[in-house]
Amino acid sequence: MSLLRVNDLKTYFDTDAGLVKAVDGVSFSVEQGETLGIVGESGCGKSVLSLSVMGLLSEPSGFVAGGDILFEDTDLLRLSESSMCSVRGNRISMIFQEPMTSLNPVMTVGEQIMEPLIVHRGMTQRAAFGETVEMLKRVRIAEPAQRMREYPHQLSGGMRQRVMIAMGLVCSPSLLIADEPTTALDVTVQAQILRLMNELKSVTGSSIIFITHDLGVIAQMAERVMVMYAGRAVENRDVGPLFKEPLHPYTRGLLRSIPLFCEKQDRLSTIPGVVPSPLKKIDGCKFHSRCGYAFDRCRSEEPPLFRLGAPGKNASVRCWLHENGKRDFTEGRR
Amino acid sequence: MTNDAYIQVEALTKYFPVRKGFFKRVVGQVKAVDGVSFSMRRGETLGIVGESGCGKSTIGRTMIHLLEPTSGSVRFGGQDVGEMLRTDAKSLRRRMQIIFQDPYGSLNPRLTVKEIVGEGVKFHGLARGKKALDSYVADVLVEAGLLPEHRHRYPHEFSGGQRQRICIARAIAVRPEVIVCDEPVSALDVSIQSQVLNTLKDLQERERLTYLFITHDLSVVKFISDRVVIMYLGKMMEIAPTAAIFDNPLHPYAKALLSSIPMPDPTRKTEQVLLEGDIPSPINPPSGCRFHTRCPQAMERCSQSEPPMTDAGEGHGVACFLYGP
Repeated sequence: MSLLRVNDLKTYFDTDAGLVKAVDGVSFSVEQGETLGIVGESGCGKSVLSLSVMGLLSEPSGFVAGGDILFEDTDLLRLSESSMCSVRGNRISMIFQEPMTSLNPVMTVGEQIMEPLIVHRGMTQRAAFGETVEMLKRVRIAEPAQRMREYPHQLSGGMRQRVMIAMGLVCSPSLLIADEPTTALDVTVQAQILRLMNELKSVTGSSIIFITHDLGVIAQMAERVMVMYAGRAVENRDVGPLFKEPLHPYTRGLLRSIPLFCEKQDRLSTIPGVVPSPLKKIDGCKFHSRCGYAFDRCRSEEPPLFRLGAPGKNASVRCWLHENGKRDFTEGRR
Repeated sequence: MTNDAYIQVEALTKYFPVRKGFFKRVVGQVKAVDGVSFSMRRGETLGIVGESGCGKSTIGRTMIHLLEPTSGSVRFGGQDVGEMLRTDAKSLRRRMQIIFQDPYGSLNPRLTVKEIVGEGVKFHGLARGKKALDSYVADVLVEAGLLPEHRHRYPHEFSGGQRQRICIARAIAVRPEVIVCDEPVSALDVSIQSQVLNTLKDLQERERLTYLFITHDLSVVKFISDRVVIMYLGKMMEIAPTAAIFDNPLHPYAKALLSSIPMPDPTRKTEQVLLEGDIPSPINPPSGCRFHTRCPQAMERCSQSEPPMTDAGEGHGVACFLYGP
């Protein structure tokens, strides 16, 4: 049984300019102890997806229009707000991108980390304090008792992100959603945080959904990857095969536009054009206008997710090229 | 380093005063850039990398005297830039341009693209008359990878990548010789980033531009630069041709920085030289070598005196006692 199973989730936003289908029929699952990476460019719906799972959409403009989210066999979408509150921050927690804006500036760091323990675990102030000190030690914050009395602005970016992680993990959730947790950090600090997350995961056995636009981070962190484009999942693969042999033309384009580390290139390969506006209705495959492989069918009919390989394997790609099984890219154009 | 270098930066220093209290008394100095020297050849790209607060943006701005340096000098084509600013600011500003990181904040939302790009063109008298200006701007937009009809639109109608192209068009419109690129692609998505980088490279080859390219993204710097400077807390740690930095980094900080980059290859788990702690404050930088507090190879003398920049051969310079005097 999967820890989290999302089926055909549709999250829409009702805006003045029209209906924005930010997430449009996405399905995936996360197993116990697994790290699922979700990757895509800005506006692909990856953050909205995580907010939908947490039940944190900005209502009334954002709403779930269809699908279900099964967490340990409970449909989160059908829970009342008060029962959702006992899940959020307790069994599923989230780390946001910007540690400065997502910490409360008028509460001390200690109060913020202790809060979920007091609310969800019914701990006393004193017990929660002790637990928090332990947690801060685990995320390697020196002098934890002293730091707990400080306010977020007194900490550096890396420290704040450690506090966020401590807050997310203090109730030992079964699922941690990390939305671009290291994007605002410097590389040497990012390396520390990523290593820390992996260590804590191996201790607690939590599952992680790791959302990022950085393919390097995905390669180092995730076991399985879902690539999103314009509100849709376009490729679901294990991390090894995905980086070795990306199948969707978008994934291929993304991987090839990273300035490579091995050889000096004269020009970078690019994906032509820009991500289409979410308000625009696109016939056929959402990627066809930027795709070098597009043919007539791509323009008129949207491909479904084609399953690849053995039935048990969770590999799929949304592209007509792979309709009859995996297609080899070694011959052919570009 | 010879005297006939195209751009010669000598002991460039920029301190920002820290003021406190009701009377705004100066209580300290942020040593953003502290004695940085390098030279640039015409048509080359010098990459400046480092983490936040290392002073890389300040170098770019003081080099073209958008910020006046506290001390030190910049010579451009044999002339002192500070001197040029006093005697012939107009031509200096035409010859040296800058592209900023944030394509949202650096364009005036009330001006059309034509007004934004054409302002410098008019000021420097590069096109006379309405018609000439109009076609001049249209040509520049095409050069920067936009369409001529974009000139009647406003910045908010464009995507991030296109806005950055407007910034590029504004910079190249006055036919500069040097462009300081301050994190020009950091705010862009990967697929857009590669398009903009290619455009910058095309322009450089066609116009023989010299770029000072400031970024925190090491993979970008590897692609675009001929030589690289690695900065830490206002000091230069290492300078070398790009290949040498990436194949054979010498300074312990350079090694740590390079090993921290997550590789886009799951079979190669990065072997990290993990640095502990955060970057110290530039108001109160550590004594001696500024990196010694986090350096895995620090020795006793590192905290006492500051290592000078030592030549390690083939244009490779490093400021570390492990390699020198």
